[in-house]
Amino acid sequence: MTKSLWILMAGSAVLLATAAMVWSQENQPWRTWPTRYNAQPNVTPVPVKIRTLVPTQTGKPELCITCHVGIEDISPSHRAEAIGCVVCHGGDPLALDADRAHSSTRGKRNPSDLSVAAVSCGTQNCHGGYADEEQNHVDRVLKSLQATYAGAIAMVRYAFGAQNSPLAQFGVHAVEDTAKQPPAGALAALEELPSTAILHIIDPEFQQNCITGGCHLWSLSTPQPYYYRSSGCAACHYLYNDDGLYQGNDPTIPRDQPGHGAQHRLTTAIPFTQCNHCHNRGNYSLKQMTFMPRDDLPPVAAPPSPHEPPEVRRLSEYYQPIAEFAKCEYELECVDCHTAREVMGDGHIYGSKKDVQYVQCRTCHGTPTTSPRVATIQDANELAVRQARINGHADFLATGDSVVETDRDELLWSVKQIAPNRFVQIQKVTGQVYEVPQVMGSKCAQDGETQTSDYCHQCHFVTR
Amino acid sequence: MTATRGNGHFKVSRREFISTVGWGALLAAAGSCAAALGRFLSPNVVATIAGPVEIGTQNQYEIGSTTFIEKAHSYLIRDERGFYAIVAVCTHLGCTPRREGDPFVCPCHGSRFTREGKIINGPAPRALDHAFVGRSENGQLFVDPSRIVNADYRLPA
Repeated sequence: MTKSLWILMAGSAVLLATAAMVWSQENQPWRTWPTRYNAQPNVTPVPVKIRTLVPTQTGKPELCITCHVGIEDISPSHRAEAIGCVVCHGGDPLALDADRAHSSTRGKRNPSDLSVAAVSCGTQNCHGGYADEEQNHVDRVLKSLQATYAGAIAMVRYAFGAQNSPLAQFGVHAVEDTAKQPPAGALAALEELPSTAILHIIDPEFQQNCITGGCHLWSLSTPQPYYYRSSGCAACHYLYNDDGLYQGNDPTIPRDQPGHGAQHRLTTAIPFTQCNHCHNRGNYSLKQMTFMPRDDLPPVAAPPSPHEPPEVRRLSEYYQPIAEFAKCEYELECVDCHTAREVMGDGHIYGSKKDVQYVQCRTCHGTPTTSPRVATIQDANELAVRQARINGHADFLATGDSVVETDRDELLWSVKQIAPNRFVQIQKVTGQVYEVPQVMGSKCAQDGETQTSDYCHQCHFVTR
Repeated sequence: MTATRGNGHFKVSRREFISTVGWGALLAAAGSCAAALGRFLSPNVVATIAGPVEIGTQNQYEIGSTTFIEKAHSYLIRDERGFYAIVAVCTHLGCTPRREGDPFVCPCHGSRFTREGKIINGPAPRALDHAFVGRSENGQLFVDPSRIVNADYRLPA
């Protein structure tokens, strides 16, 4: 073979190899995502290029938004420009290959899963590490009844004779209260309910259907319409549609695959629909050790008509059919009455819902002889003012305002006094302001000393 | 084989043709290779350190004005004593405080700061940083967010 032919062949081979290299560069998988983003309706097209985010908090570049182009800012309090993606999610911020980028992420898609929340959400100066226990949200939630599931575990096991007392001994995981003197009614510790050892004949089924299967914050819910939710903090703060479909703009999240939040967004404005993905959907059959869904609600009953007024849906979905409730209880959202301490815990361990659910009608409506307890905001840095700001209602509360104070000294930032014996409440989700009727001065003849919500429901119940 | 072009004076032998094409391909390959290699070796991300940002002359800014200088991520403020710049990074988590009326308000957690960057309310743990404002020899003002200065610093007008 001649020298020229060798040169021709070598040149052609190198040219082909180079072409392959260039082709490979131009067809890297990440290019798919901005291309798909641009193909979505109602988006402003972006150049197909590597996109860099340098959060001000870390100063370190992240390439995540190259593929996750168009993803929603997770919340006004967790802006990507400030904290980026990796502080919460982990992962390799410089990788453009999906497997490598996600190989070290925390909690898979959910960094608030309770298995990792302490290192993603609960780090120093985020939601943990404060001298004020009130701000250590992850610590509180880990000990809360919604995470330990201690009350349900105790009652089920007691009902079946698996333990001699209804007092809580076990949690989904072991927890310990390190406080020197836990408050009255609180427990010092819970053991972890053994997942393998069978302590009683009910334990395997209880484990499978209620512990692993998901009635608490450590687990996911049943993956089917009307039950979709995440775990950990996101179980409440990350909203899901009833159909579990994503409606945001991140092209990497499939819009036709159920099991995704409605958007990549955390919120404190939690509507009752999110609570209802766990609550009010049915009852647990102790006999069959399984969940029995309500037959008046989907997915058992037909879905509500899209033309149905929202208040009709609220009325039908609120509470179990046998429950008695007042008008304000279905007009308001669950989070308008159930406080952060009730839902997320107060940092101590309890064994029963009755120990943590303490807000009563009288908390805001007063009694025939007394107005609700109030406390006056002295400082713009007080928790109540901060909560109003975080909830997007900074204008509702100012220094000098008096807000309702609960029996456990928790300030309800959303209920303030506007005149003697006159109070208004701002609804957390809609921002609508209501006047809160007061019992004092009304025709109510209830004995204030024994006035619990059950008694109020006797007269003020709503008929479905 | 011979090739003829035009009036027939230009003839190329088969050997010369193959050799020319071969060398051409080799050169093209080498060039493409170098370009592809250059692209491969060029970093996906280049760290940049914000330095001085020229912002025009002082006549562009009235006394009492507050101007967001995007490239310096700072607010340039002119008061009776001269010019100063506030770094637009909240000292709590690093969000960008916005101007709402006179104070700056952080949209993330609601910290508020005076026009001088002092805290009105938290959760920000400390005042906003002040960046150096200077005047170059050609009379142009510049903001340097990499140089943090005392809050009393002013560049006289």
